[in-house]
Amino acid sequence: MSDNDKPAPPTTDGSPNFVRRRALKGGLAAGPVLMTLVSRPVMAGGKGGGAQCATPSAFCSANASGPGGEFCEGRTLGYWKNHTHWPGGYSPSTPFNSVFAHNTRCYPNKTLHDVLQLQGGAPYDDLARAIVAAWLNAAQGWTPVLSTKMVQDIWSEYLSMGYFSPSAGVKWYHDDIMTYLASTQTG
Amino acid sequence: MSVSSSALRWRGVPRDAIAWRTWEGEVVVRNERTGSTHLLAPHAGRILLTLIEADAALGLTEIAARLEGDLAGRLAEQQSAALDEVLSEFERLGLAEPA
Repeated sequence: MSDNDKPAPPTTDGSPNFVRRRALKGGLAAGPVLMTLVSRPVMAGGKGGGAQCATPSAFCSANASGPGGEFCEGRTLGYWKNHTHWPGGYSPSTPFNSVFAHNTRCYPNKTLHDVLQLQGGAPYDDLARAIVAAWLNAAQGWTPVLSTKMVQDIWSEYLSMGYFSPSAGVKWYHDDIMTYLASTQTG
Repeated sequence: MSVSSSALRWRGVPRDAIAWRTWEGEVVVRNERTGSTHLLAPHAGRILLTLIEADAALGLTEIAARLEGDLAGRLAEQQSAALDEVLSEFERLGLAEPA
């Protein structure tokens, strides 16, 4: 397909085809994208399609078992820092501690957006902002393998134990968690 | 808080990265970078073509100004929320990005 033509004037002949299309159009009330045909093999890992991903427990053995059958379309923290339309009725001004477990050291007076803006160098900071992005991705429905509750649990356990245990006998420390969360994002 | 996307400027993907066909206002666009094909609603299609035909990145006001007639009027009434939604979706699909 390469004709990249100019829009054709609409027909108004009352044909069934026209009536169907008029119903589909619906002005601004319709979403911007009416339908998408996804070609997974071409775009795995790229924007608009998703990267293969797995639940935390399945991710532990991903190298042995091969990639899973789920696709994630999570966005990076940079995306969420620059977008105002947040899912689930939350907004950038939502207090961090209304969503996530906290202690006196970790962001008691910061909003979710404040945490996304952290520089990431200090202990906890880079993981905290990645957690917020992962939570928003989950709330948006872009990470079918990772629910908002699971993201909250990862943070809570890491905060109290210094690691997260995705399955019995397995401990994920800082770098492991960061690697996993990155696997649910497409860019 | 400087997160409003209304402050951003947007550019479409390069022309050679997509192929599109229009009829009756709807736009079908194939994104060669992702391999996906999208059927866009008329207002979204016009916004995408506006971005592609622009020589430089555009702000929301400039995009709205370039849209013709009734669509521009309706966008203004909705205080650019519709434009914002479309552009965010384009970014997710890899069809446009903040400059």
